[in-house]
Amino acid sequence: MSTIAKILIVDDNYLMRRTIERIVREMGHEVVGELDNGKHLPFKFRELIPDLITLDIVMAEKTGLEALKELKDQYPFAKVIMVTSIGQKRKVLQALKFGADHFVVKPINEEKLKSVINQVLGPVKAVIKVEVKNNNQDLTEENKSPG
Amino acid sequence: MDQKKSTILLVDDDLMNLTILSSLLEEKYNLMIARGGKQALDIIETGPLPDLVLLDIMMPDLDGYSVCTLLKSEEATKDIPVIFISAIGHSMDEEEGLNLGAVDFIKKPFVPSIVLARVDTQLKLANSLRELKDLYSKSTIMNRLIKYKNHQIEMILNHSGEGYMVLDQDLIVQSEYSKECDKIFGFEISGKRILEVFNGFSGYDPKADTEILTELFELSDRELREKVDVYLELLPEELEKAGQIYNVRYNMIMTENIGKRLLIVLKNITEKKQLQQRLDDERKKLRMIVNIVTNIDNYRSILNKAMTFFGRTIFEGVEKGEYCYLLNIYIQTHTLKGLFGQYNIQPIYNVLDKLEILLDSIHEDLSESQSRQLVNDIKELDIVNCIKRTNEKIEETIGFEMLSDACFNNHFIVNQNNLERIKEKIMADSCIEGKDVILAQIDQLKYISLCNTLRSLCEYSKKLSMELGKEKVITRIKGEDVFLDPVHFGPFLDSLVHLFRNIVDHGIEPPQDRYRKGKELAGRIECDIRFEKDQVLLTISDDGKGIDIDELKGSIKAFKGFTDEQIDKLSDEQAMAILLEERFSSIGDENAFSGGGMGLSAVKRALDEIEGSFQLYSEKDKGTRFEVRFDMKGDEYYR
Repeated sequence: MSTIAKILIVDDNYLMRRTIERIVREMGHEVVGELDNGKHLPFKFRELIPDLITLDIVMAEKTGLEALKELKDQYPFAKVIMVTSIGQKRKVLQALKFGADHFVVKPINEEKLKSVINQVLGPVKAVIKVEVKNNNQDLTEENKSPG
Repeated sequence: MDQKKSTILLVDDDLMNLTILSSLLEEKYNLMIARGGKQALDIIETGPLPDLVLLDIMMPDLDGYSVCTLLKSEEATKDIPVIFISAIGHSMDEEEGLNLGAVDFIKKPFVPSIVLARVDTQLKLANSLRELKDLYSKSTIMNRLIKYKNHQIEMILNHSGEGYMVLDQDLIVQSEYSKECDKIFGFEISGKRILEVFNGFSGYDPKADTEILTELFELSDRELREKVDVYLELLPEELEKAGQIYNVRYNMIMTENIGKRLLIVLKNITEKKQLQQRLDDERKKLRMIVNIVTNIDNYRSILNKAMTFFGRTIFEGVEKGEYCYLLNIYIQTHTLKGLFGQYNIQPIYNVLDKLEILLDSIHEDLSESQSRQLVNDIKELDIVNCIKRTNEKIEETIGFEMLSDACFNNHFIVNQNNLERIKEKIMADSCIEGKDVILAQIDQLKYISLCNTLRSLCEYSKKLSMELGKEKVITRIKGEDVFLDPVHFGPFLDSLVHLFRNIVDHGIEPPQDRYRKGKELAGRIECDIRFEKDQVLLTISDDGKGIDIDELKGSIKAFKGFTDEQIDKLSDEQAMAILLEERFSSIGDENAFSGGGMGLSAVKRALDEIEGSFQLYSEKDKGTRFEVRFDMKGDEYYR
């Protein structure tokens, strides 16, 4: 896929964010934002409309599972890859039930993350694009009205 | 003849009867007429066969009973239905007729409509019977074909070397599975729940994996199409039991008639895995060594940094307990982990990874007790020792000591020709002050490092040990280096090769002997350089079989023609001294020590030239120690 995707990274580990950012950039995509907790995920989603979110499953402030559920309730079309440690299968299963699209296991294998990103972005990207447009229009209209 | 109509053969000697029956049946059926039993048989023989026979009993040439008996006895005609039609009319006749195989009996005088009805019924019955038989034979063939195909499939699956099994939505193993499963599980798995089947396999998480399987079967068809691969990825890729490793593949099968089934395929990959592991280890080790050797200075600086950091700095930081210090420790650890990772030094990388996970969970200042706990946790990882041990192994492979500066201080390679050229230039230039001192120092640059010489001898010993069918020896060089004038010390340094050859050839036992003695399979050679007053003491020791003094004395007795008394008086030291005599060590093959002392006498001779001395200490099965001493005087050496 040659199109540049907008990606939001949610992870409370600074080094993990840097690692994912580097891999995503190498793929030619753009990191449009970072969160170190899951608290404002739906808000941030509305603001940035990323094509893809990488979401750490265990975070101190708000767990990835809670944030995922909240996000998917409001934006079911959001594409999410869960980032998990070994031995958290049941959490991943729960995330899949909540609508997560895929998962990668830490320590991150570069090739695996790239392949998962391609799989998730792949054929569905076009659909998201349409949603993005609609949302952007909404936002611009909101912005215009006061002025 | 109308192909669609059935054909009836009428057999009667009475023309009247034939006329009546013909007129009754000809509209609906094709008719063949016989005026007697014999003619009836002729017609049947020439064919085509009738679908039904209406047979009179009393006929002059051959009666109806006989005709019927003949028809029923022939394979081709036995299924043609026969109806007797007779005026005889006794119940006995009827019984006999039916016993012969007839399907019905019509009495004369007959009612035409009844004859038609009965003929019709029998023809229909016969038709149905024929169809049934056809069907039966077809299904027999089909069954045989299915059986054959099943057998073929079974054969392929059973010989594939893979365990195939199928799960239904209740996670129960279906009765069809390949033979390999018997080998893998050791019991009949048909009808068992997957939890029971995988019980005791490491890699299968009874709770999580069973939950995933259950969820998989509960997914809607759409979800299944979209996400089946993601779910299957959550299931274990490898399972292990009793030292055997299995690769596991899954495939969700969705068919209309049987619904959802999960195909599980297990393949034993133990051997492949072990081979792969060995190859990987070798490759990693090679990569590690090449990386280290090509960046030796950088590696040493990382090593020193890590030793200081994990030996001291880290504990100081943790004791402070403040988050900013802990964050710094975390980042330092991560950096050092990455650096060791670059050199492919797996053991250090792994231990630092564990530390990183430990630190990753901290997000705020620590209380005093938490700090203490963390200090203990870090101490338990024993990082400094891990680094030391790993580095020792690397030293063994590369053949010199990395941590000690003795062999490595400010080393660089000098081209001898360049040195000569510089010397000539200095000598030609009359304006240079202190020319003599400079020239002497340049000369010193040509001196040979004893450490370097020993290092190359150690490398030689490693190669030699393998050529001689022994385990590759482990070598170690300790102490302070000394640089020797090649003109004065050259012959001595050259002679050392005999000593090393002697150790590897005669001292270090073959691996099977070492195993029997409970020694490490690989022999060890240690070199130590020390300064004692104005002397250099070079000790070279091995952990080989040593010298058996009694055996040596026995040989001396035979060689020198000594008496028992003389031998008793001979001290161990004296016996050792005789071993160093050239003549003794060069005698024929029958002597267990032949060749053994050869090298030693060569070293002794070279040492005599530089007024050095040589002592030999040995203990049976423990090893041998050579102590070489020589003076350091004049300008033939520098430290």
